[in-house]
Amino acid sequence: MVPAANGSAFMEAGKIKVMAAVYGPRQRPASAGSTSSSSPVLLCDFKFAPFASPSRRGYLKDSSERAASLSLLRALEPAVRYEALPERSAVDVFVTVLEEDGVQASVASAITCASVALADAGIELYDLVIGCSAAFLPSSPDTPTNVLLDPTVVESTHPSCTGSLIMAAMPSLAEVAHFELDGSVSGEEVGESIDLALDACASLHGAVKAVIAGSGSGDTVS
Amino acid sequence: MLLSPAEIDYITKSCDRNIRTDGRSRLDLRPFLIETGLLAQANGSCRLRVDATDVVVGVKAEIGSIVPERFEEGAEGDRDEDDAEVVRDVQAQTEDGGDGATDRGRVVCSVDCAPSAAPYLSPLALQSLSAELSQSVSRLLNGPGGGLDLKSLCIIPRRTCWVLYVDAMILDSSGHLLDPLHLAVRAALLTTQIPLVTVQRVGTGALDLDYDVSADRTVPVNGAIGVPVTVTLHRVGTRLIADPTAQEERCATARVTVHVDGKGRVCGVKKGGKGGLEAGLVKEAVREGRRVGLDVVKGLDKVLEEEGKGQRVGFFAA
Amino acid sequence: MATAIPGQALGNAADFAAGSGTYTRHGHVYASVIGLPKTKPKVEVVRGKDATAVPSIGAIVTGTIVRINPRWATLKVMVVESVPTSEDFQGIIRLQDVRATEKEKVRIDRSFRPGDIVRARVLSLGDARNYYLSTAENELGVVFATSLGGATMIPVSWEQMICPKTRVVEYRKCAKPE
Repeated sequence: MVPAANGSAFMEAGKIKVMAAVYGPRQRPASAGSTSSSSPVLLCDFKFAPFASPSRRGYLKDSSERAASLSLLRALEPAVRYEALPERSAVDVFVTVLEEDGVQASVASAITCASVALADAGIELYDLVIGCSAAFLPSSPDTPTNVLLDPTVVESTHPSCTGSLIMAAMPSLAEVAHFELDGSVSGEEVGESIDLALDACASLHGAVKAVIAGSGSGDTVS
Repeated sequence: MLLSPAEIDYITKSCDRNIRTDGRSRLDLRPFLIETGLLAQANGSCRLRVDATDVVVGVKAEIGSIVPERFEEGAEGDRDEDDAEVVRDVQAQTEDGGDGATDRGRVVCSVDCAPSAAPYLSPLALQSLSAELSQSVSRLLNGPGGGLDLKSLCIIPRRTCWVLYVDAMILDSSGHLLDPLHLAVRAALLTTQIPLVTVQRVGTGALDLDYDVSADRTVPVNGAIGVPVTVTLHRVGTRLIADPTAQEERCATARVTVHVDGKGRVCGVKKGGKGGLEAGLVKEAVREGRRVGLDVVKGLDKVLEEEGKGQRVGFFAA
Repeated sequence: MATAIPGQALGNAADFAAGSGTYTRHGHVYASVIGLPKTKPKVEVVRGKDATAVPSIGAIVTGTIVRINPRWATLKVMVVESVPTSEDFQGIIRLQDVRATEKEKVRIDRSFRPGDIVRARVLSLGDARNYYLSTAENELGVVFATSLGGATMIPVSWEQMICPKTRVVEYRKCAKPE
């Protein structure tokens, strides 16, 4: 997708369109990290394109994009084999969301897309990281809450939505790489949502695997 | 923080056997000391000490203007950086069709770690630690799980509201800081008193309202009882431990932070750390975090109740 | 064999030794890159695309001199061993690392000039901005240079090169031709 990058990937999930480019391993810029530490470093950058949402976003990152960059880093770190990277090198991951449909769902797609781009760049990974999101929505005030997987922007910003989550899993290792939940939900709902999200990650993993194996270098995952 | 492989091995193995280096079992917490109401200039304050960790939180309430519906980039005026961030977030919320942003107050949080709290961290790392802690508190209190009734902080809809500035200073640290920080913030908010405001109509128009701030009558912050506490469980070896010491934290490969309110509702879950976690451990973390969190809330409420009855001694007396 | 992706189980650690592109966990060998697995003599995953080259200590690198100053010459590293890098790395050749003998008599402007292609060895990872390189061996130094007249110069000794057009001798720390 991006010939100048060492690895890249593009992903479409419904209305969401995400592009990820990976550069590295390359010489760490002097500003990143302290000079005394010689361990390799992963730098993640997440940005919504100005035309990604119904109302225009500026070029400067706002706090939700900064938080998403941190979530992206947290999700990818457990998967990267740091011991295989050269000392004092840096791997840059740039993710741009070209069209979003719900912040949580966009970040989840960004995680999946970024891990495929890392694999495309030849960075050694323990496993692909698959991202998945969910929203907690009661269908009426009295019924128990439904857990909706992969919520659209209408669902995740609905006034009666009590919470949302982003999960990143490493399906082959059966481990959770990253998990964040915001809102106010009961303990049982959390347990139920974890199971549902893991199943979703597993089935998405199958689809991603098929595309990579088919094309030889991961491209469109739809 | 440097630990030898032998020390790491010792700590890991002892956690597996459910006897930690200081004799606690895996989910035992260290006792904490709380004092509230010690800063005369703040509307609410709290000092929390757990072992060597020392956190001071001050809450100041100031009257500010409610976010306008369209925040123009560049029309900063006298807003400072924290406010600008919250403003952009609120703007993002209003655009998605969410209502309520024009009739509620807001909370602006800032956490400052003194260099003495983490002498092994470089100034840059210390700054990013402070930013991370600020973000955590800010996100929680301004979000749906924060418990505070932000609508009650509104004075004149679309115009004026209370802005609660929650400022925390971390003077010393011995282990993970998020739990004591959130606990201190909750205690400070529970004991915060803001002046009573009465709104009067001064004309016939819809916007002809004026407010009067009482000089002697105060009210507590609505909803402070619903502010969640935080329990972070660290994975050391193959099991989870609560309230780690600094050495135990260094041996942890991953952690799960659970925000629990007084009713047992889970108000946030966040996984951190460089390692992965099996799904079963994540669920166990949420379960145990809820249980421990409810105990902590009960403990805190009891302490505050007794403090309310007792005598104030002084800042560094105890 | 089908393309392997990271996290895919390739075999038992008891049966196979883990090669490049794989890792071992819990007694099994898994792939860590996208590629085709090869199982003899040890299991490894071979990538279709070439991996990026990164300078490592002791490696021979080739690059262009971009800047000189009285104390060091700055080199833009473009090839590591014989693999081109996709991104340029920056390294410096300090005064004491230009040659092995008579180090106190070295002058950078009589050893390198901007535009020269130089072969050097990586000494260390250096500081935040530069790798530290050395040309203190017979086979290391300037391999290609252009004279002030614009022609490709020919080395005449380890410290001189001659321009074939103008017959002017210029000073460089030359690499011994093979």
